Amino acid sequence: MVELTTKIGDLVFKNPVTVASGTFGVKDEFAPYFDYALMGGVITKTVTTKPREGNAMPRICETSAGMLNAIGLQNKGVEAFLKDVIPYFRSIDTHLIVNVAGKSAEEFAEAARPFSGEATVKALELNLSCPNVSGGLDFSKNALEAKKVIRAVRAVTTKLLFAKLTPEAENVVSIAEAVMEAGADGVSLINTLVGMAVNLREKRPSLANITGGLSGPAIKPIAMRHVFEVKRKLRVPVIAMGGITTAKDALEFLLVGADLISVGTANFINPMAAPEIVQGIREYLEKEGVKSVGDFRGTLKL
Amino acid sequence: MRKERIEVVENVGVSQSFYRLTLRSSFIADRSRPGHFLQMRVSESYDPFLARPMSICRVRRDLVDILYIVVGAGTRVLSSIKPGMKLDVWGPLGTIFTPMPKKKLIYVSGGVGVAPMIFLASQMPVEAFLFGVRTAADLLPLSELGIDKSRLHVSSNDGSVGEKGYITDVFDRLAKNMNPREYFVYTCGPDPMMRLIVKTAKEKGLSGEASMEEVMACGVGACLGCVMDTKRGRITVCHEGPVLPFDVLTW
Repeated sequence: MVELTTKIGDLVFKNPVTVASGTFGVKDEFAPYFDYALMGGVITKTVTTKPREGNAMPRICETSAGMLNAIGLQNKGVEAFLKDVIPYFRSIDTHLIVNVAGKSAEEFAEAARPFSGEATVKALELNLSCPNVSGGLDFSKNALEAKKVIRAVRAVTTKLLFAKLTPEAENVVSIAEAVMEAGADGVSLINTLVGMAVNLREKRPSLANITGGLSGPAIKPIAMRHVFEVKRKLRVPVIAMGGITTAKDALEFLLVGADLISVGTANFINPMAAPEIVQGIREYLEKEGVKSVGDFRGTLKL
Repeated sequence: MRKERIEVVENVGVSQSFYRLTLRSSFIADRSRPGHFLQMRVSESYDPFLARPMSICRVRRDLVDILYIVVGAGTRVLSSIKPGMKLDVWGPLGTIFTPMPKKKLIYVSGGVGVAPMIFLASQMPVEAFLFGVRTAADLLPLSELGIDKSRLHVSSNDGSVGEKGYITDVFDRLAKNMNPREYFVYTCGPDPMMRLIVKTAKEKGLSGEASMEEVMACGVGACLGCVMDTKRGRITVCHEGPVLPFDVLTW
């Protein structure tokens, strides 16, 4: 049996496969398809202090090997999340990572604070890079802003903190370095890239928001580059995401050094993507005669 | 619920515009009710990338029929699929039409929206079945519709078959003589058509249900890409719909 456990800080994940924020519903949407306990962790859709209606329709648009979305952080707010979602995950044997966002460092801290005493919540991911709300991207394009958010959240919780960064920063490695200095325990790479599509027949933008976040297999090479650079230069824990659709994709990111991987947009084109990837990783390592995922991780030949 | 890799049994043209795709799945066949849809990936490649939501048109033993018209990249690929090939499919998904066996039932369909109406009409009595098409090529033969000719009202935009004009005009005319306590309306078709049907129905005090059409990504309520504002608030069309009572709609 291949050992898939992966440790970050004091937290042991049963396997390195998680699902990415915003692609896995809020609670039980995928429960009819498979047992969440098959996954190492679940990263929730972004939660904000107050409920958000999100953006106008249309919000999504298919692109070549991917899609654009501009959902706009629609969510019911922290209070409803605590009441409804946390109890649901209490009995599920997987690590719950709550993704939070705010319009300021203080608001990030306010969104994070209620989770700091929740044993069910194993870590927080800070969405420093939502492209679809005003100012959302600014936090991870600017090292000082990013640091402010991490420090503010660090002050209210001892949970593991992952900073989710945009690939659009001038220097992603330096942002990653800054957030680690400020007290983050790792980085999530990458959030979507800002894109745009137009509808020729209607002569309008395809999204009401005009621009949206590009995700899916189309962005995988960009994610690969950033994961590679951050791992090589900083050796800090990385959750890799960006187009991971198959076990082969996941294994490539592990090879480059990712600690955990997140299945994102692939959940939309295959509700079984995450458990199939766990199984695929296991089968590959068995076939290769590798005893543990730790022995495989970061063995890229340069 | 589960995702299955399902064999295509048949994929044939049944009119100048319509194709009928038949899948073999006892899992889906056993669970399908009128109004349900399937998420279907038409290719294993990433082009087209997203699954396509397809209304279930009929169930025969372990066979499930889908109707489609080639309108874009997804349906173009779908039309080239040969029997014996397999597709990734998950479902049945979404809300269903409420059976109203004691009412006189009016079905109003437009274009490919006819698919769930056919399924529903195969299980319930039919007082009148209205079917609006652009042109004669979009009409389905009676054998596919499974509707008694005397119950069928057809209109076409260009007058090439049935009445010239819109099916909403046919409905307006018939609705004049409908007692709201005796009748119930089911509808599925393009948004502008359904808006007019719901508006007329509400004016006459008629109850009914409409099946919404929207571009979707996941089909399971996860991506929040297909929301609409209703009297119940902002809902996902794929999971909290697609079938909604008229009185929930803000139309």
